[in-house]
Amino acid sequence: MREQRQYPQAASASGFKGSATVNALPGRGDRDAYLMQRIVKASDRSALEDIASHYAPRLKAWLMYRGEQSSTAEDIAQDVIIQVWVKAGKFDPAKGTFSVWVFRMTRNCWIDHKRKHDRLQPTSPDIMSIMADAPVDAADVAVDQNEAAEAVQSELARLPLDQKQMLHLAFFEGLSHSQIAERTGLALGTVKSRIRAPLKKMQNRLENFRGVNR
Amino acid sequence: MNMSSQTEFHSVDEEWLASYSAGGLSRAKRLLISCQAALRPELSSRLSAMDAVGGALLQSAQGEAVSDGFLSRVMDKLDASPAPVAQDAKDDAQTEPSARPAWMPSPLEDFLSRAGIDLKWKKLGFGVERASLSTENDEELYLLKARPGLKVPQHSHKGEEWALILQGGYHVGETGYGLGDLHREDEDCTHMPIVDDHGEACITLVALEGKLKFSNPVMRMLRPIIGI
Repeated sequence: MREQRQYPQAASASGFKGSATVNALPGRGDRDAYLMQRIVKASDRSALEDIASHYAPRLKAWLMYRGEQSSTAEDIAQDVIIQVWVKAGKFDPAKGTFSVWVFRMTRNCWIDHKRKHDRLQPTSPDIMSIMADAPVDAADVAVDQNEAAEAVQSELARLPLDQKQMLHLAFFEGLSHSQIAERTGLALGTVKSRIRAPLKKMQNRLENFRGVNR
Repeated sequence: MNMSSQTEFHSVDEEWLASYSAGGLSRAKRLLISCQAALRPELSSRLSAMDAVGGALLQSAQGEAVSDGFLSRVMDKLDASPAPVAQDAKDDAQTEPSARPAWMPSPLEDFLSRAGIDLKWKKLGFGVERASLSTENDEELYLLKARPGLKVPQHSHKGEEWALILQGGYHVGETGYGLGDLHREDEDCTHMPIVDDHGEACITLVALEGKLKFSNPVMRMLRPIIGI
């Protein structure tokens, strides 16, 4: 029997493929944190099911934008979900949101997958995994992640459509700035500025939360 | 040369960092960015902002429907997976102190240790030593150690060269590069770095596509021998 949960219900995702689908999902961050707590404290399989139901289709989309076939994308997404279960104890909501944690995990799993399937073998078979696991966050300080995540989401939600589209193309579809310029017909300089400006704003917001704003 | 417009240190521009966050960089360039982030909290902060955007997009973007039975397959696999365990805070505290050299950032240490690579410095002459780390898709990853005051012969590149300074520094013309700076050159650039003469060798982590192209004919003859 499933436990009655007290977390807020997340709004359903909206938008359409290939568009600037940056819509705030109120309560999703809290819900994710609660589900992760259930996994760690009670090995709650239904909590993982909930997470998988929401994120697996999005992981699959992210992977397919990187050229993976549907079945391969599902295999990698499955590996990510299993890792979420196995490594749940390492998730610290004080250091980052679940969506960022799983975003990095997906990126790492994909890099690892590429390494394993690369016909051109690297010098060491483990190198790609090492790259994937290399720490990035030197500024690893506790942040009020709920507020920081909300700040990022609200910044995204407030952006003009063209800037949302730029970020979507760069960070979700993984296109280079030149490819974005080609896709949109905009000058390369315009693409760069439309990506740089909102990123700088978000960086400042995050630094404010970390208390290192200069 | 690309210098960030937002900070006072040298790095690659936003497009490269976005590519890092999106998973698009080569493994060698990826390591250089990870190492620079460990040395430069400002860069780490920029990458965190990008990953925050990536996470927010992942949370809210339109998904691609998974096939019937996907969830069942995941749940079946759980039975063969270890149960989640809360991480003990003491785990981190009990980590043994690192024995890495002072100049080596932790991502490079992780890279070497997990790949089982022992650094083997090879003397190339002219006060230069090199330690090869990997080669993939015509991109070499290596460490280079140059004596203080060395004037590197003028050269250009067949592809891109990224160099992250881990110790010491050098100048190219009026521009100085020091600890934690990431210096990017492409095939359009010809330069002649001069290692700073402050008593310590300059150590750089280099990702090089193709080979160097020396202007000096003697250096061109020596290149196959010295291996750069």
